[in-house]
Amino acid sequence: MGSLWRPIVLVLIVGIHFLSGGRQTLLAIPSASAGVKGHTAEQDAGTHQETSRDNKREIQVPTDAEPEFVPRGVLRQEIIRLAERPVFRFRDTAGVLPEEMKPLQEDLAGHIRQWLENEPLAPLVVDIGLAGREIFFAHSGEVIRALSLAIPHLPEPLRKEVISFLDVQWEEHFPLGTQAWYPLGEGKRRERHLWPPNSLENLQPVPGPHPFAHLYAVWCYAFYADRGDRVSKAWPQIYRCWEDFRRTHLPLESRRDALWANGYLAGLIGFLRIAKNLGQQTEISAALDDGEQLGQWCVERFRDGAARLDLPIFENVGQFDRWRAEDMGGFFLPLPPHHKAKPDKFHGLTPEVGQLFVRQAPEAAAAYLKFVDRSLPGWYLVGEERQLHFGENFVDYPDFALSIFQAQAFLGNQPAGQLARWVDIPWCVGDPYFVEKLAICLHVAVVTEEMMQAREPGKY
Amino acid sequence: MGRRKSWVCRFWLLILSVSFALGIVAGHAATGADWPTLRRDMTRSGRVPVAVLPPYRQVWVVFFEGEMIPTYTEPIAVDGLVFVGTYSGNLYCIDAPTGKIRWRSFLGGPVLHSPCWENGVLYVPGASGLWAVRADNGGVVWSFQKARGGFSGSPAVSSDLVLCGSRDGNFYALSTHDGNVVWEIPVGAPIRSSSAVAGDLVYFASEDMRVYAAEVRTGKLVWRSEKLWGQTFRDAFPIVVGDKVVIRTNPVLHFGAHVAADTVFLAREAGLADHHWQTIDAYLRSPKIFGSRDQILREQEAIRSRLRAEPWRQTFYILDARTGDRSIIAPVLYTGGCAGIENPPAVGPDGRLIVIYRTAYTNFSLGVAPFVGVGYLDVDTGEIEPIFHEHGLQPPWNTFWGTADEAQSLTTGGSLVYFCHQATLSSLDLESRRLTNIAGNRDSWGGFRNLPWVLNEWHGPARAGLVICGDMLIWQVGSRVIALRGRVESQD
Repeated sequence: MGSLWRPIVLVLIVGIHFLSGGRQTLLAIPSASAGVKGHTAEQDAGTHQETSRDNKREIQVPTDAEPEFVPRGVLRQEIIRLAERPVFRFRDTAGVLPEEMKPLQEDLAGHIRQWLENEPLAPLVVDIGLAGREIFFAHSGEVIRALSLAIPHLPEPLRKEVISFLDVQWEEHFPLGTQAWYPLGEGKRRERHLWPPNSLENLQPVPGPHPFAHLYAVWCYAFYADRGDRVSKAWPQIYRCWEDFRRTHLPLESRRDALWANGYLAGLIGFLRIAKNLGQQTEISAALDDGEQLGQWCVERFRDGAARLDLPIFENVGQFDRWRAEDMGGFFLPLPPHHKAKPDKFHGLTPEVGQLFVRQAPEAAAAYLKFVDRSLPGWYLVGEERQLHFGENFVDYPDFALSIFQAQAFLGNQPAGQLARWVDIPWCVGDPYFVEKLAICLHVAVVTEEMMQAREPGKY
Repeated sequence: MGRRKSWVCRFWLLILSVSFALGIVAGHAATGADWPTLRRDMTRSGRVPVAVLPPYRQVWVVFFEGEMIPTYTEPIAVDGLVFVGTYSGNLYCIDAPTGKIRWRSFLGGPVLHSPCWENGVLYVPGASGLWAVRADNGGVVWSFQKARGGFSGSPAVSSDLVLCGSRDGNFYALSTHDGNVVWEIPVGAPIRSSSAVAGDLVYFASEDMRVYAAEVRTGKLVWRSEKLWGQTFRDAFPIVVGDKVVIRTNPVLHFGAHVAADTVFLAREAGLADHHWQTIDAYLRSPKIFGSRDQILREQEAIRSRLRAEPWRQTFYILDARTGDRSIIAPVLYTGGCAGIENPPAVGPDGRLIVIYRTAYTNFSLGVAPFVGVGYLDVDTGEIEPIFHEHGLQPPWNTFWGTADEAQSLTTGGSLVYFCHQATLSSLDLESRRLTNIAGNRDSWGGFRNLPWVLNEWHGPARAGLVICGDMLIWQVGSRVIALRGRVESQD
């Protein structure tokens, strides 16, 4: 954007912000001085509101209303609203967690304690069948996201230990750089079974998303671990990551980006929050343009898949083969090799991205969850019989249960008690997905239905 | 002999008729016409003394609207009632003669394996716990769930104890009366396999890849094996044969890698010039497949040597029931597929195990991963006596799918071996060596079309399970239960 446009846009932003009552502001990352210990829920929420109110920076909204799949501007407003404050806003659930959730809290603490005792752990290698070998927990972004989400529910001194562990990951495995990948063959093995000699040599990670998708994890670290100062110092790297992402990945391409699109949208929300905290207004404006584009792409794809969901009776195997070779009625994304697929619409969901889908495509969200109920009844049972409807594999990958769990929480708005029944068991020692599921349950237990649903922009 | 068979046949039919007519359910032991637990008995033999012979006719088919049945489970059949659990959390009781649903009981979460019937009560493993349910009306007697995870292995019942491993990492002995824990053994890893009982010991395997033996009454650990090779024991069950325990594992590398490498190995051992499919195909169409005794023994020794040199290829284990010693190596390479779970053996009429195994000396090969044979395994010597059917160089269509990458389960009755291959049910008469298609078809769902909610399948169901009760074959296939009636004739 040329320099002449900047004042005009700024005036527009200020004007529209003024007209909207100044309610749509981005949540700032709490400063290191904003203590979390001993806060009640009300105090904690109050702190956030106060921070938000104090922040006078504005977000631009669109000026043209060119009709699109989702009317232009709507998604921008949504993203502003979603970025404004986290759904999971509690940074300490001590004192507010319902009694019936305490066993989950103990499970969370127990698993994390065992995890830290066993570090350094090697990434998990899973060889499920003809879908091929896939490596999990190999990127620090996954670890940072899961453990950061868990922090509000942990007792001292475990909380401090986790934050220290995250600080080490931040320093040594910075999630936006190449060092984010853990050495694949080093560390204590997570698998319970033995491996043949040399069978873990030359391990190659499955290509992951652009590091931009890990910006949500970065924001989680800043917010829940109270490490806004460290994240702020990394702004140059964060900025470069964003620039590189928009240069190389926008507009998104189905073949390349379908699995990671939700993650990119979440990453954008993380980016907006970080940029807001630093007062990077120009970047916020541009990122909102990106957000509108990303959101459009994701919502359109989400709706499109749901419109094609079906459970046909096949006359013969040929019909079945054709059906699964496409995208199995819109639910799965077939991936190479031939026997692999993932529920891409659910992959990488966060509360914010889930809300976007629920608000923009509620029928689609309901249709996907109905499909799950009907055809994937054992989806949450980690390590049990595969539920994925094709591929010669004995089990589904670990991210399968996590993805659907996130969908149940963020698209289905399931209550914590129901989610708790779906947490199931860890795949292995140091399982970030198990940690994330428990953390989601505990967050859901303390946020109100209003927070989860958030039907009206700027409602709280 | 013919007269004796005729009287025995009448006797069984009389027992069946009386049982069905009275509808007796509670308060007595299972009879020879029943299939009260996984693989019919606590040693998991998979055998009934009475064969159900052709001609067969389909009596009924039950499908479960909107529900799926785990593919590795078997129905349980006692006193003219058939019990089936579903992922939707329902336990169904079906009237065996008519196929009508007698009752349905919701158990709070997916039913993950076959129930065990004992004295009128079903002990049902599921994601929401272990449930004791009255067989006559589906009423819940008690349920047990100590920690997250539930139960995915089928329980055994002995000495008034329900013996079952849990996904929570403990093996439990629960009182049959009230579900209270009598003893437990923590193993530190989920238990996903079923347990077996023989004499005073219970056997189970955990995801730490060890097999355990414990005293039934006290829970005192008698032995624990070293780590065995394989990714998981999931869906497996120990089979106790004489003083040996046999168990299979899911291969440590994905099954396709094992199957392909073993094909190359067997082709080389058989003296083939190469392992191209044309070469193998030409070999399979030659009388060389019958081999000589020397060739067969040489091949078996070569397989043992391969398993000693590269133990990670082993997926079939024979352990001493009293000590856990596993010095006997059976020349059995992996067969299974689709769901990756290996093909379990069943006890044959002479006490030897009937196994599906990899060999170049077989006329059972048919499919993309050939060198698949059927044989008798002597667990004391580790030797396999191959079986050859009478139909020439290949099995007739739809009677046996001899490919190493597809799943089968075996059930034996009298002199028959029933092959439950995905969607095809067939039999081999061990005396006449005749193969017979009973029902179903390749690439179908038990001879039917796919049901819209039964998508957990690949060219038909990944696996299927067959049980025998009286003159009926009860077949769980593609989330349907199909009942076939045949002729009963005692063979033992």
